[in-house]
Amino acid sequence: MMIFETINFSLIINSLVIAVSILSIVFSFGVVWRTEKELDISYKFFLGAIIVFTLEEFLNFFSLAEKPVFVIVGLFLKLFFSVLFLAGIFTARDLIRKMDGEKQSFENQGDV
Amino acid sequence: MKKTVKMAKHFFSPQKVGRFFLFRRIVKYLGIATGVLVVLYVTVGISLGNGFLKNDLQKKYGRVAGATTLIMQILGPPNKPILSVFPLCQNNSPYLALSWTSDDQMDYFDIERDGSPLVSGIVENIYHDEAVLTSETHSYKVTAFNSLGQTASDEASGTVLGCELPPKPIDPTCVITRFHKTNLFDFSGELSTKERQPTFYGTTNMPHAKIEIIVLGKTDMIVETQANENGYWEWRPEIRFNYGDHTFWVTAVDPENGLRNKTASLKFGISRDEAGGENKKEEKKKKENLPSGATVPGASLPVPGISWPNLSVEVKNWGNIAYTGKTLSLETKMKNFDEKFIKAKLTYLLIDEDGKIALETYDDVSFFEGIPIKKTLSIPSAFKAGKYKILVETTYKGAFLSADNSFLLEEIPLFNLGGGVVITVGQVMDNLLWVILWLLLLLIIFLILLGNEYRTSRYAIIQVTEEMFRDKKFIS
Repeated sequence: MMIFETINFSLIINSLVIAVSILSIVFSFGVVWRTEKELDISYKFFLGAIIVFTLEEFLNFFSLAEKPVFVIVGLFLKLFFSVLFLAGIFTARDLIRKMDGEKQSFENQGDV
Repeated sequence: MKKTVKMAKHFFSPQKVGRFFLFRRIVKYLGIATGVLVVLYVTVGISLGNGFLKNDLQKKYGRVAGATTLIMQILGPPNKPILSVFPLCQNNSPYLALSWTSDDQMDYFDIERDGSPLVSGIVENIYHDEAVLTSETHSYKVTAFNSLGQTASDEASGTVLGCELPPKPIDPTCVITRFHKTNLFDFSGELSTKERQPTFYGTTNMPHAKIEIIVLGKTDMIVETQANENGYWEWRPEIRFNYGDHTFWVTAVDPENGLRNKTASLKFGISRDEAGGENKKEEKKKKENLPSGATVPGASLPVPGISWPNLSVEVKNWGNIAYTGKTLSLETKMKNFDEKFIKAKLTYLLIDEDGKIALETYDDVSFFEGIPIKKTLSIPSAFKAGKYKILVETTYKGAFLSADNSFLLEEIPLFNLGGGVVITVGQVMDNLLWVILWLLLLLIIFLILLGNEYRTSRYAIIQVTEEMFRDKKFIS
């Protein structure tokens, strides 16, 4: 029973991750098409991050991922995901700070 | 009818509105995708060549015109034997008794156990498999041979039952069952053949026994090989025997206990063609002068009192498994020589399941007593997966030495989906059409979802901006 669970559980989770990532890409596109200005930019960063994440998950399915060149590619994809996600969060934070007046009051007080 | 025509016209209308617009789009793109798929499939099939398309279609859609295979039953090949397997005990030792139907059209039989050869050249229609342990289950298949062909029985299984008293330790056995085309079970007389590379067949009751072979005569050879999991062994010399008489000794050694071994031997001659003339007379004279020797399997001539170096080779890959495109690690050793070191030219031969040489390489080495020579062979990616054998050969003072070791060659998997599910390049190529179909299906589903999302976004009246969040009080 344990062996059965191990064999199928890993495969099911891996498949679900890919399926959920693809849905996330579709819905992120939906948000990008429905928004403008800085909100649109932040979601474009999120979209880029989820695309890079999905590519990295696909790469892990290949046994060739053990080769050094593909290991390096995988590491860079992880890095891009982190950077894009951070950029999206940063942009969203920036627009919220502008909306709630926090950034304007900082600028008026001479802070950057 | 009118309503149907009206609906059809509306369906195929070029207008980009209406309830069927999306459905029309899907059908259109599906049609394009199918066309692309067919073109891609045919292009890939043509580029792969070698009848790939024909074989693939044949596999999936039945016979292709012009490739019909007609099977006829010609009188001659033996009838199918009907095999039965019974567990029995004798002298408190368990064994599996095999018996099968036979008739005049069957010359001899080969038996397989669990898919591997067990014994070759049986002439009776019974066999006792004593190399078994209590509670083991084995499946057997008997193949009947005659000059016109062979027929195999269906597989039959048997489970070994325990005997009431503990069985006696089984004495090691080693039997030579066949020499070239001659079965030795009911043979008496002098063995002779024109074939200069005859194959020797035999069996031992020790699975994976080390088989040590010595041939002395007009050609001297010292060889080490291995029996399979059923104790079956066969050996064909890599070089041709010189014409004349030879003596063949084979010793089966228990791999777990070197003191358990059994030797069998036989004398044989390699003769020239009938038109040999004087040579024939000379050889006949030589044969008459020879002492009577054992040509019956199981009997043994005294092993020659000579000391030959012992060559051995071992595959160091884990589990004796190598992968295509990766390396095969070997260790070769030579023992039992008097010199401080021996210079030798080693030939490494990689032999596939069909006995063909897949790879050949040479190395000049110096052997020191007991110190292994390490060698790494690169296995090309194009090699087919399967059972292989690495054979190492050299000569020492005119004697031919060789040793071999088996290993399994597997393809590097292309996909590792986790949980032990792997897909190899071969499996992808075998099911290329289905792989492309599934990938295309996933792509179409993705495009449909994306297309639907885009379509619904076009219904938006305005584009949302962050100012609206403030107005709607999403931001405090």
